[in-house]
Amino acid sequence: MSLTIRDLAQTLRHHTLRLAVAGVLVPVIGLAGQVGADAHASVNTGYGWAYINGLNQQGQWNGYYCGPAVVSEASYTEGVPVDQGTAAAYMGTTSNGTDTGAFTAGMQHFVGVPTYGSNWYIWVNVPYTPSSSDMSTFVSHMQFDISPSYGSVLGGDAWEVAGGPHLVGHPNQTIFHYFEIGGWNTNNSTTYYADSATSVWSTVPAYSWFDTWTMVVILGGRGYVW
Amino acid sequence: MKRTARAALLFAALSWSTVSCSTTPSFGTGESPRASAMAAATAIGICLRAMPSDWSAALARNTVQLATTSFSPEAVDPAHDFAFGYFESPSQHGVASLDLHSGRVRHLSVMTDAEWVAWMSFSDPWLAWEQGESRYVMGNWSIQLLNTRTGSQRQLATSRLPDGTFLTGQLSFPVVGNGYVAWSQPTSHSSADLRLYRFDSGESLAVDSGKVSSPVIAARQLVWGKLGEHDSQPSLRMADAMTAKPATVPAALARPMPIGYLSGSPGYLVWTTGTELMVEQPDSGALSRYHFTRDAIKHPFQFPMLAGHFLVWYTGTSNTILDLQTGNAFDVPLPSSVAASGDEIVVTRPVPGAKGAVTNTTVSWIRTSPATRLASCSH
Repeated sequence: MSLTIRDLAQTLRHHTLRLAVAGVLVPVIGLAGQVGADAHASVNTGYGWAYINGLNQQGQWNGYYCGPAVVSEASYTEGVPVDQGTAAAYMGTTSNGTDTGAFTAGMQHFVGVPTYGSNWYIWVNVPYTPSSSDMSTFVSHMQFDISPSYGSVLGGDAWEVAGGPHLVGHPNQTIFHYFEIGGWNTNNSTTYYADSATSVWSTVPAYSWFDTWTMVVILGGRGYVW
Repeated sequence: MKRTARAALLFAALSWSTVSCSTTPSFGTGESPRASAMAAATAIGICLRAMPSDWSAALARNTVQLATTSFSPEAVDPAHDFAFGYFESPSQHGVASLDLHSGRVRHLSVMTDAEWVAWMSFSDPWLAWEQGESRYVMGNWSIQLLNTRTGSQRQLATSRLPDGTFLTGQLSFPVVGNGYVAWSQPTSHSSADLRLYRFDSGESLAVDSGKVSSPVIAARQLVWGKLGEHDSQPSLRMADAMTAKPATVPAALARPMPIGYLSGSPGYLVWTTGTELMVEQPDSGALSRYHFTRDAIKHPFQFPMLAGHFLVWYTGTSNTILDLQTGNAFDVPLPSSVAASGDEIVVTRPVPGAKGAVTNTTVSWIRTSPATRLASCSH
């Protein structure tokens, strides 16, 4: 079996996951960045923060298209555009939504493979009750992807419950919702995201900075792709 | 499986208003264009403090426990100390009333699995709510009206458009008062009627049409937002709250400006601009604008409700209570829900449990007075 340059990049990515725990994240990112693939989003970065330039945001075509919307947003952000209808058809989205396996497959097919080669995106389950370790992992994943080397978005899968935290503009009810993650700031512990629900709930802002720990709580019981 | 929208609410939200929200990456909050109302308003920095001990004590005195029931208040009847809201028990969910003294929960409307409550408004004996009709199709909702004395319920409207599709991008949040219920009724994907239904006569009329928001009742006016055909920002429109006949908008409020959410009460008209909260006292014409001096990113102004001179809103990461007279505020940490009306504020806190599970709920309430203050805050 041959190992392509993109396979190598992906292998390094997984190694980076492990090595990051040992505190050698930066040098490995540097190496991986050199072999990383082609077109991806550009990133603005400074001390303790980074965000993707031109993070694409679209209103979802209908009430159950948040999954296709995130795939489409990610594809435009990373320069390999596909529309929501095409993404929905591939993922088998119905009026019952998109399941997480199909969502991950859609991100691979339309964004990961064309941009980075092979299976770039990895699904991460977040426990129902997240810990500080889950928070650290989430931040490290953002720092890896949303960096000048990779310029990759993450895809979040929110589970919001009545009385609990919600994304900006979401009503205090039970909501399941995919959204696109495109920035982080450890100086004030916030995360930057784009929300396709602008076409459904019109006071939802297209983009928001949001408390990172609260976002991890919202991801609890679901997860994200990075 | 996924993707729900067991919800969709947005209080008097304007469908074009997202332009006033954060649309560019920023670590702070941007400045909005200064329309005349904003320029004329007194700027007040909101000081965030801990919940004062007298509030804690007052809430502790007025507390009931609900066993194995989740209850999120959406509307309050301050005259009879009742709250109305969304309940979940192990076997049922829907709309319920809660006697704040006895803790008795009365199921008013039991829902199917697909249904949920988005927004409520109450004026004795009429309870109106926007009801989500699908967990997955977020634009599929109806307006329900219930006489809480007789239990008679009827559906006033749905979001189904003439072509059979459902609304996206526009919202409707009914307001009840003065013998009618008023709401924004979509007529296409880009237009809505401001519709008013009178309880006594059954008369239904369109007060306005176009890109109109849902209305609120503030003092003696019915107030809503409208995006004019040639305007880039919405402006406030008004009608007499009793007759629904057009009324003149005060000059200071008439110019187009960012408008997000609206809220109204006998003493106040409130709207949000994305980064600031605008408050008018209709009797005096006094205008104030509030902003957070710190922690603004955790306190987006959304879903506001008024009780006396207190504004409560759900930030997404907490519920916040603001004294409009002092500019001092405190957070009610999540999990919690807060609703307000008249002079009463109701706070519910579910007992922590597994995410999404039905647990016991602690319900507390406080009655405010003109002398009630949130004081002693230092920045």
